[in-house]
Amino acid sequence: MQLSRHNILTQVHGSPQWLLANLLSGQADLLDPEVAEPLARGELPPAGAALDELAAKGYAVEPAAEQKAFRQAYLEFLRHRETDEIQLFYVPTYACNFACSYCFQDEYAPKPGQDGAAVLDAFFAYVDKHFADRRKYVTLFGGEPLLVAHTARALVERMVAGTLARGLDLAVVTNGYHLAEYVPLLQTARIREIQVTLDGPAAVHDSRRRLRGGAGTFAQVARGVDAALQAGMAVNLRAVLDRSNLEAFADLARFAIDAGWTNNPLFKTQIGRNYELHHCQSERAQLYTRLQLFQDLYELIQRRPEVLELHKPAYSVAKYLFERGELPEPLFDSCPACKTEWAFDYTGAIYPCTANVGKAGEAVGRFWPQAELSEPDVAAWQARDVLEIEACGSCNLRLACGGGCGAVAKNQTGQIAAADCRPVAQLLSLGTALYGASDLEPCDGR
Amino acid sequence: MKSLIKKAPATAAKTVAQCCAKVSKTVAGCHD
Repeated sequence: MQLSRHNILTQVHGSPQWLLANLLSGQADLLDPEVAEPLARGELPPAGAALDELAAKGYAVEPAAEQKAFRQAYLEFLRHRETDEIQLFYVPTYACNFACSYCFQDEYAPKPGQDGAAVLDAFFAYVDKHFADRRKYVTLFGGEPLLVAHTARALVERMVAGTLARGLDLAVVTNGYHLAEYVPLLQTARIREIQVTLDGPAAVHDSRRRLRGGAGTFAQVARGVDAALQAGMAVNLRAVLDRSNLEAFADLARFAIDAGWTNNPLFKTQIGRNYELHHCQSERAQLYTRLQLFQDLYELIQRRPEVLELHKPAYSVAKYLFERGELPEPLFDSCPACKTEWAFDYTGAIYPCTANVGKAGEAVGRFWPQAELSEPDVAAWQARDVLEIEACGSCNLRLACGGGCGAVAKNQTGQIAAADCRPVAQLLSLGTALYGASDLEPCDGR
Repeated sequence: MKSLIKKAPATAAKTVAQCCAKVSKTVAGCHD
């Protein structure tokens, strides 16, 4: 009997108690320090009730039995992924009417467009042939897909018609500037959701996400959100955060509450970290590491709890655990590229995912003018998981982390099968303090 | 030890977005 290789043991932020979680056994417990500290030193308790409880919950294991459970869980993960829904991104243009301070596509040098309608038709023909037996939906991406030019609108009309003809949902990732004008057209589609970005209240948002001519965009984007919600479409509001606008996230929360958005069941949110994907897009000193962002968010929430009405940060699996009373399935792979995500652009190229769509040298094939895939490139992306990545082999966090992002790993190391580590233990420490307060006090008479 | 697991083990696989943020997969930016 020994301690599981998948135990995650971390002292809860601001508390004497510890969290012990195991994604393989699906167990999570709060421990008093006198129980946790020997475990943190790698010491098992002597035979008795304490050891029996650890064994019953998969925290203490026979190695061969745990290896068997690990293999079974991995096979189940692969089986589930084989039938999982695929997200197909389509980029009708890399052009954009915004000049965001942190644009990750600003160094792209896109080729001029060919016959946009013919390329879009070729996309649907490729989808019909190569993803016929898979559940799927399409996401319109960019650049900015909702521009006012006639050619841009005509392509969106063609996209709506193409998805409707196939019974497919359509999602749209837009800066939101022309969203209100597009709502009547989008209402005719099976809209899964519209993703729009606001980086704070007007003054802050407008300093970061302005038109190419320099004018602010907040008011018009907010009108677009209102119009979409009133039309019954789901809106996923994204805020891209760094040190310069974190405090403003609380002001954005107040705006969203006052606008009635947070009470609308069609309204949801996500946060994006401003970070170096391909190159440094903004002042480096303003960028957060993952941990720093969530540490500062934690402090912000203590001061401005209305933030939680707008968005509840995940803190690894902490939010999931405390909202659902269970842990998610083990995450053997967090990278969807070439598995459950593909990206297609108007030049006829196929890319692994949205992080690298349009980036020179990253295409894995073409769907126009003829279909061809680089099988070795696709295989390299598809093989990426925590069993393939050497550094994940000895990591106790791997079934919560999933190896991180393949595109980031490749940018940093030149290899797809490299780790992009997540600070899982520290995030769980903060997330347990944030979401587990009722469990933390008092515990076992303490 | 105080268990935080309130549900019986599920018989069917729980649906969890693969992407790291573990949020809706419709959104872009799951690479972080």
